[in-house]
Amino acid sequence: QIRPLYAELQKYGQTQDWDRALKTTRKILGISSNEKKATHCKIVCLMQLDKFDEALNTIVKNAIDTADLFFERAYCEYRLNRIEDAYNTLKSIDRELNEREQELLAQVLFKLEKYNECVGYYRSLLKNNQDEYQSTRHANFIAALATWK
Amino acid sequence: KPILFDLALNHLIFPSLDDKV
Ligand SMILES: [K+]
Repeated sequence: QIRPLYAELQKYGQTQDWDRALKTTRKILGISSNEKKATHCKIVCLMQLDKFDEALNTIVKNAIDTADLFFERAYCEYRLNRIEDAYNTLKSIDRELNEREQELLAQVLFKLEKYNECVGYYRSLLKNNQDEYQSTRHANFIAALATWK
Repeated sequence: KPILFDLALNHLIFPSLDDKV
């Protein structure tokens, strides 16, 4: 009886109905508590609903199933003002950081007043991106540069 | 001290459930 619930969850995810999606993840996890996909969806729903404390608790309580959710974990820590934790989570990644991890790390570095490294990430992100956020990213770069100088 | 725009949040992705439905 899990498959129809996943279909429901997919529908709510597509319409960004995070409250209903969250309820559906709870139904799935009520039937089978070790559904990795449902746990991941639950965490994203909680984050979309600004429930970063509960999202991080879910990550910590499901350490094995969430071990690869570096971005989600670090972002929760960042929003909970646990900036050192966010920094350590991103630094624990044992491979080259992807774009979203770099974007978050740049924001974390700014909060830690590590402006030199922060500016370096923005230079790289600006060079390697062509998305619709480039002008905003450039504003962040300028803000970091101005604060550093 | 200025506040940066939070661009990281735009990268939060709801997982694909194609393998589950
Ligand atoms: K923020």
